[in-house]
Amino acid sequence: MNSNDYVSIEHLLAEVTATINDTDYKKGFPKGWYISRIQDAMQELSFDTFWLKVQQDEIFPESCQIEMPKNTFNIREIYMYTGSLCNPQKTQMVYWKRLFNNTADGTGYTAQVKDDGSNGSDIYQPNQRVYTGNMQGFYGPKYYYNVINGLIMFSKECKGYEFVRIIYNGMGVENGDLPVIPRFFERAVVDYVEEKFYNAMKARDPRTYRPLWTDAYQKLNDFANGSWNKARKRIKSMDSKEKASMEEYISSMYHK
Amino acid sequence: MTYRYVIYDLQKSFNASFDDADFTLNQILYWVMVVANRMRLQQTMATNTDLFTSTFSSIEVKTDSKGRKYIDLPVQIMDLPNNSGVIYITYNEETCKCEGPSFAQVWFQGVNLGSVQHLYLDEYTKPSAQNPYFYRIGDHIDGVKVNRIYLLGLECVPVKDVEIAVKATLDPKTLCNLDEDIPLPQELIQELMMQVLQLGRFVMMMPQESSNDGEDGSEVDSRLYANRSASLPDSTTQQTAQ
Repeated sequence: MNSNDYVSIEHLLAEVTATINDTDYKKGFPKGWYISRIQDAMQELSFDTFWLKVQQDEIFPESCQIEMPKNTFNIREIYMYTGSLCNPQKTQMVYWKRLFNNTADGTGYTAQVKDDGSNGSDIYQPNQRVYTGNMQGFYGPKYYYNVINGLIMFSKECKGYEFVRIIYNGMGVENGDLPVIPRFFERAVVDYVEEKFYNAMKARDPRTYRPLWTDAYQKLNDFANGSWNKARKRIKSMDSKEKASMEEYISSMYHK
Repeated sequence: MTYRYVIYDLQKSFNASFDDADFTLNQILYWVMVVANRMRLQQTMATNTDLFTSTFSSIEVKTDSKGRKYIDLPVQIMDLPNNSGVIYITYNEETCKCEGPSFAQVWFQGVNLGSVQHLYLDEYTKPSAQNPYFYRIGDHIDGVKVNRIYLLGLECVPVKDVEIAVKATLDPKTLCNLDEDIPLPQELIQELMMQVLQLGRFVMMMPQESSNDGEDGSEVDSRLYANRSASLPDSTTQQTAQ
């Protein structure tokens, strides 16, 4: 589900610190520790649900290589385009190619299967050069990329476009910035911080805090009613309109 | 309830029981302060009351020989867990009154000296002017007796003074007027008197042979041991009984 509504850090801290009886931050954890745990929670939810999407628009570099921005993972979409950064005109989808690794400006590269299907004189990998060459329609420019060590490497033909747009999943905000928390996640984040607090206190006073931690762990991770699973389900479920549209597409797909 | 009421009453009680004892008012006053301090601490731990809270609106921030910023504590404070004797330290500036008092906005968080390094490991806990901390040095610095609060996060920010709230202890030296009220809830005065009486009675009931007579090289009083063997259990009888 989509929304544009967020809760503040203070709102969460007010509930968390009251629940664990640390409203004056005198139990040995500073305020920053709690904010850090909130950011942890958002990061974990990002990995689990892919809820956060980050868009990057750039002038396509001569080197055909772009570094993945910080706090991003999982490339979702890549497009090349002409026009301007604010006004894309002609666009081209870019595909992923396995075992591809370019150097310098993209003209030199290695790949298990090259653009023309050649593979040197490899005795195990069938040479597809003749086959690819005969497929007239398929032997055109190819737009693809691969990621190695956080570097997105593009094929040389991508240089035919001036701009590139990449959509990633985000991990939350940069460490040190104030976390942004969708209201969907409020329960999960509060329970996550409580669980981490009791987990840390367990080492200091096991007799008091172990039962509290067990309760907090259960409240967070219970398979049926745990706040973590509820948050995952909520964010992954479709908007009602999306659902209705999808039903219409599917019901009419064989009648056109 | 004033000191005068309580102390004269205690003196009268002591004299009734030990008419030849010489309890001075100062001595009883000192006992009252000692017991009151402990009761204030217990009351704070039990109720988290602000009855014993004192605030100081402008404490000068100084810099030591190593360039570290600190303040001198204006009073001795209660030694509560995690520096809880200091309730808050905040900038002495009301930036936005609509948002509440300054101590509700940014305040210095207490930290143990040994944990300071840990703060710098995480971007969110790292000390800064927006996220300042304090730690206490309550004994000596280079052999000089101090009672300081050091401030972390202000290294690159000029700060003239701070506001502070503490849970203070009572200092017998500072009491000038016996007609001041004893800073305890009225319901605890009876407990205070009981405990001071216990203290006095304990002093008066010390066995004579255990007191220091001031003589050097005197014989060890063997009377305590004279009949010790006679009072030991008879092992033979015990065995027979079994």
